[in-house]
Amino acid sequence: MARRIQAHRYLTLPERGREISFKYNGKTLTGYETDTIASALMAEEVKITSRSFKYHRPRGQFDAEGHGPEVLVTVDDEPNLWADLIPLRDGMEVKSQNTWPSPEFDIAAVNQVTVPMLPNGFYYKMFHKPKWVWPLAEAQIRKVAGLGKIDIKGRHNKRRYEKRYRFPDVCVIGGGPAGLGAALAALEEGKQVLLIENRAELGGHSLFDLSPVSGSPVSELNGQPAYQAVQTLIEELADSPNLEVMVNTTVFALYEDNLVAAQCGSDMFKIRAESVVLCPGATDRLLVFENNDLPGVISARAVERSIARHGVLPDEDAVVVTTHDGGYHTAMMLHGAGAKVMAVVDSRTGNTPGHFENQAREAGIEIHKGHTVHRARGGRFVTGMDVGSPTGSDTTRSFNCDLLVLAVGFKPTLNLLSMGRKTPVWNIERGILQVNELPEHIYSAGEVHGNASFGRLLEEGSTAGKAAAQGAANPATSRTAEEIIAALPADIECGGKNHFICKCMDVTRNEAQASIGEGYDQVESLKRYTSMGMGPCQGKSCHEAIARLAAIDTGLSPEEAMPTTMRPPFMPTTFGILAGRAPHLGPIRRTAMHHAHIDRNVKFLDAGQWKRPEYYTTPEEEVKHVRTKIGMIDVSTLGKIELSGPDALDFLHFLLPGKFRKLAVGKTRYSMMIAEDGILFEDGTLSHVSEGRYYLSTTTGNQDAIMSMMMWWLTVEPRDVQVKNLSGANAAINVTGSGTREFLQPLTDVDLSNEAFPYMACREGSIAGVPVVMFRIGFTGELGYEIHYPAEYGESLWNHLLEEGKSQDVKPFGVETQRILRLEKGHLIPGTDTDALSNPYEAGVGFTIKDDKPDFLGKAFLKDFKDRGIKNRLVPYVLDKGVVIPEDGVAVIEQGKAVGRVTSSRTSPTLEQGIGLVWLPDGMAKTNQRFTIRNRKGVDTNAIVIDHASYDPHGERLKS
Amino acid sequence: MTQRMWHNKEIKDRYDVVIIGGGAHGLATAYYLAVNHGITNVAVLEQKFIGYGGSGRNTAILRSNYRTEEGIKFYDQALKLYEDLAQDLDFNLMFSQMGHFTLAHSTASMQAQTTRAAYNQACGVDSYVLEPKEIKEMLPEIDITDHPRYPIHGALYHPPGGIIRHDAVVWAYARACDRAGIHIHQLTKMEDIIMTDGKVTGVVTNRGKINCGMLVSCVAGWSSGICEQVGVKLALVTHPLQALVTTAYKPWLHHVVVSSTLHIYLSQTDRGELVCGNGIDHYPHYGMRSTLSFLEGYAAHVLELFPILHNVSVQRAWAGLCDMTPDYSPIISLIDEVQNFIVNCGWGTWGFKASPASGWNTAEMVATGRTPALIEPFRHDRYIKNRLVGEKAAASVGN
Repeated sequence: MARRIQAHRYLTLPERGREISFKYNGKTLTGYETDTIASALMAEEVKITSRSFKYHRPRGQFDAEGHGPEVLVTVDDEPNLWADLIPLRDGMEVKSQNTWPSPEFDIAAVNQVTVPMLPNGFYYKMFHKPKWVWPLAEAQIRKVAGLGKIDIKGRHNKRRYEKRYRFPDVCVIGGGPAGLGAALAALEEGKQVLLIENRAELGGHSLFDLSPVSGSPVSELNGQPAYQAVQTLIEELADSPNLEVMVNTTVFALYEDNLVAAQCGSDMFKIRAESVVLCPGATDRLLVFENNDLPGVISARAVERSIARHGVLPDEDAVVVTTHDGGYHTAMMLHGAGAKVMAVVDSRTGNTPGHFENQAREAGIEIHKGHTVHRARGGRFVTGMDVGSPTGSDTTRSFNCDLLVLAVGFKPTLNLLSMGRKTPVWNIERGILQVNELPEHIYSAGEVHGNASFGRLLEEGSTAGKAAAQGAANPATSRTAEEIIAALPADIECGGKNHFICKCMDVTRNEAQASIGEGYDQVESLKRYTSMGMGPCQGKSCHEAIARLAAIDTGLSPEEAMPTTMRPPFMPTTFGILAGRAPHLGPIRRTAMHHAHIDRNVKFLDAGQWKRPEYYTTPEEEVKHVRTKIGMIDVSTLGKIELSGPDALDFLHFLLPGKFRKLAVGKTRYSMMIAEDGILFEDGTLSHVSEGRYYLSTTTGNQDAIMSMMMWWLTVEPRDVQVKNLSGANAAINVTGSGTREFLQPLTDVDLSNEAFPYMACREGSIAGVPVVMFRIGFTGELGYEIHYPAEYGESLWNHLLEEGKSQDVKPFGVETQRILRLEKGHLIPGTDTDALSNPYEAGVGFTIKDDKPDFLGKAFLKDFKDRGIKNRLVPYVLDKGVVIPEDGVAVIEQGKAVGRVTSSRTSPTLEQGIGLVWLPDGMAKTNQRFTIRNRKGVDTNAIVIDHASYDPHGERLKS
Repeated sequence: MTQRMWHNKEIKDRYDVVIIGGGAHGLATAYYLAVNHGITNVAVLEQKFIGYGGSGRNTAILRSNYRTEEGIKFYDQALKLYEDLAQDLDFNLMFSQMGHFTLAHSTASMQAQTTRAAYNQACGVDSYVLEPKEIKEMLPEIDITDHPRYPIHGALYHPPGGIIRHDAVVWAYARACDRAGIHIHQLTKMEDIIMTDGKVTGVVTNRGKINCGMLVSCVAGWSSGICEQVGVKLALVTHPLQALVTTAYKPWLHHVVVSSTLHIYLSQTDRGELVCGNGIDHYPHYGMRSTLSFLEGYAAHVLELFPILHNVSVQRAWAGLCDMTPDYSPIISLIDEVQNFIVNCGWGTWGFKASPASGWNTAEMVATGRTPALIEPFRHDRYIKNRLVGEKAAASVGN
């Protein structure tokens, strides 16, 4: 911890807290609980924190803002984290990335030597000729690509991710002076305020601001140094009952209607606020000069923060490059910490000295006016620098320093203000990019509009906070001439070797200029070609420099050289955080009998959101049981929609292709459902249960779609109809098998005789005291009754029937069994045997279409299909006995071409041979026609088209 | 010294062909006009910069394992052209034919994938169905247990499918166009179409009037607005589609993985980022912004497939526009009511992978005035005549 200082000449150092130890690349190091990983590494003299993406150049800490790629590390196997944002914890394991064996001695650094061979766009011009080269080259490229390693043993369910919610009146983002001012003002207006800060403590940059406060709206702060005044302010806020403060919380996105998305540890916060005040501040500008990426080149605020908050002096011999009085402030901060400030290099000439410039002069610090930095010198880190005029390339002075501090103006952190809504524009007067037009109820204040003094930022925040609380217009901001000067950059005009614009992707100004020369002369094209701004920082470090320099190098005016779009998230956010605890957002729906099925060792299948019994024993055994005895199946997942009201019948006539005026009470009819484009998409039954009350049953998969379709049509063409979705409210059981009547009759008050209750009829009554509606319909081909009843009796009636049926060997069966049973009968299942091209005529259910009635859904298209005639048909087939059963979906092959497809294919336990449904060209869909099915493995099988259902072709069992 | 890829030229008074839209489709059309038909008095107008639209916003996946014969043949022409495009254009497009999985999470989807494999094979396209354990051998980190909400039943595997550097396709076509003498005018917005006696004779742009012999619209998501100007109503609804990219990790995934049940498109680039696409947003919209629910939903779903990705972080999310047609197939068509006008649109979520074939056939249509047989099924009047292409059949059986 060689770099720790014990005292500072101009400020009181904060308490460091407990000493803790952590591991860095396997070595045990120590730090304090108030440290970030980065500050602890700095104290331990770790200068090189990573190697760069492409050239493996050594990189060190730059801005301490969690923006730059230099401090990306892996912490406890979590890759790509920013060491300068993460508080140090006891025992944490930190590893550097993209480097082997260590950042100091990196084997791949040989890339640096080959730099001239790897200019930008290099990959586009190499390795594609001859053709076979690229796959080999790519394999090598993929070996060295990427930054951190994904932990392939990691499992999200070991970690608990939570989603949490807040609904404040005013949400203030950023806890610097403007944010504090906004929070105070909103509190004074009596609002509930949420204040979010992405670091461990409130205060922002004023925590290390030595300037005396003036012009503060809180008058007792005037005269105090800002770093003390801000503490007074924070203490004052601490007691507010209407304030919630979240620290270490990063707002990663701001969406429409003031939806604020933030992360704190493993929690994601979703915040809806009436007003949002954005006070994200600004960070030191990146200056582009030779070797500007060397470790030792560091931003002014990183130096100040390190000294004033962590008591760590980054290095001994420093030169500060500046354009404003702030550079002298940094010099004094260094001087007070015991560093040797060799010089302040100031690009301005002959202006009136500011407050800190005077102090620096008094302290005897060398000052060079009208100069800027030309290059940093050094191999693995800064060992010296050359300075000269901003307009020329001649070096006039050199220093042997180990710290090159950049205090060259500020770039506002505009991401949350912009975020794909509004592209930042240059404010020429202030010399910064700005976003001015914000959506309603979003406010902004502070350094995001340009640098200003503590008092002025506090006041600006306060004004914005008050406006936010009152829902007033966003107040305008102003900057004084002196404040504007603080924003100006100090670029030298010439580009050269190793002038890095984008440190994430290793792009230099030379490369950018060359790319512009190749025609990529718009900022967005330039970005895509060079990858500038496309790395982990997403332009937070370089966005402003790209826009600034592209304007110069393309010759476009700043207005034309539009900076690239800023998009969410502001900080990279993990899938774990975003997903939260939910592995999948779709709910699981279970029937009322779910647990009764589990008790019988059921195998479930997923039918849409539903869990349905697939089978209990084996499908073959269950099929045989239904064919010879009695089976029952849980059909609670069917859609069950009740329609009543004066226009109910009229509505049904519009919705369904059939005619129902003659459907008497107690009668049931089979119906198709046709989409607007004439496609068969659903089938079901419609029953006239009691006078004017109709009951429509639909398949499991389509129930929600049909419900919303009904709602849509009732909205578009209002009718007096009540639609009740009873799908969840009713349970349903289908009892089927030749002995069903004898089994059920003693249990119910409904007369089940064939005369009183014929096929395709429905009756109301009760079973075991439970009110039921019974439908005599059958999908299985056997005599069957479908019983619908309130879901609260779901399990008890199911168990009751099984209990009562023991003597007659009544057993449950599953959906797979039912699929075989219906296939033996040749019944189609929409969606399984049909697809988005199937019309009802070709599917063989044209008999359900009554197209002589007035307009109904799909009518026009149905007419077209009818006029066009049948091209393909869905028909049943059988295979020879003992032939291997092809898979669902395989093709029918005729003269080497695929001419049709098998939709359902099973072995029939009853017939002991392969059966199925197949789409064939009309010419082939003739009874006894033989055709060839090619299975998944490419083996061909012969099949024969049959006329009717293979089982009970005339439905005698069904109607008996 | 490096050569310019393309030049900013003065706009001429008249071009034989004006193409609106400087994306992959527009530039490919211009390129094939020059190389296949010798037509070079051509201008491509681009309102922003080339590649601004769908060409630069897609997830760069190429494949030809479609469901219908017409779809398979068309996309296979595109894939074949892509395979040689880097050599033809002398620009490394970084096409990695890493293999493409379409996961099935239900018996219905397995049926659909089986049918696709059968039709693909019948058309000579390499494509077959895999069992879960075979998937696991190729993607060791995938979860094939019954733990996920929708367990994996199998997959359609398509070895020649893969990813390409999408922007490079745009640039390489643009350079080849420029070298053939075609003018590319960026920052040139078409404001109006000039019609004389039912014929298109020119366009008005923010940089002045341009006369043309033939006007080709290749503006995908913006097509409805363009065609409205000549009174043509298209069977299009524009929806946004959102995508995201993660920070770069050491390459770990060497195949394209798609699950339509989970709305997941996933691949890892040569830089190490995971590129992730979603299904379209459910509402029609022209806004290209992203939503939190997209990020949340995508994250939840991708962790169902690959639980190891929980600490992988998203660094950027964006959106593009999809001009969806009712039959999930494009429109490349002459228009009966408007002469000298060709629309090339309806590219929904399947546009980028079609670019070379789209350009090839559109160019032929411009040069000959006839519809090439391969794109006969994509005429715009099919919606009036109810002759839809069957690709919706594949797309609609997602789950």
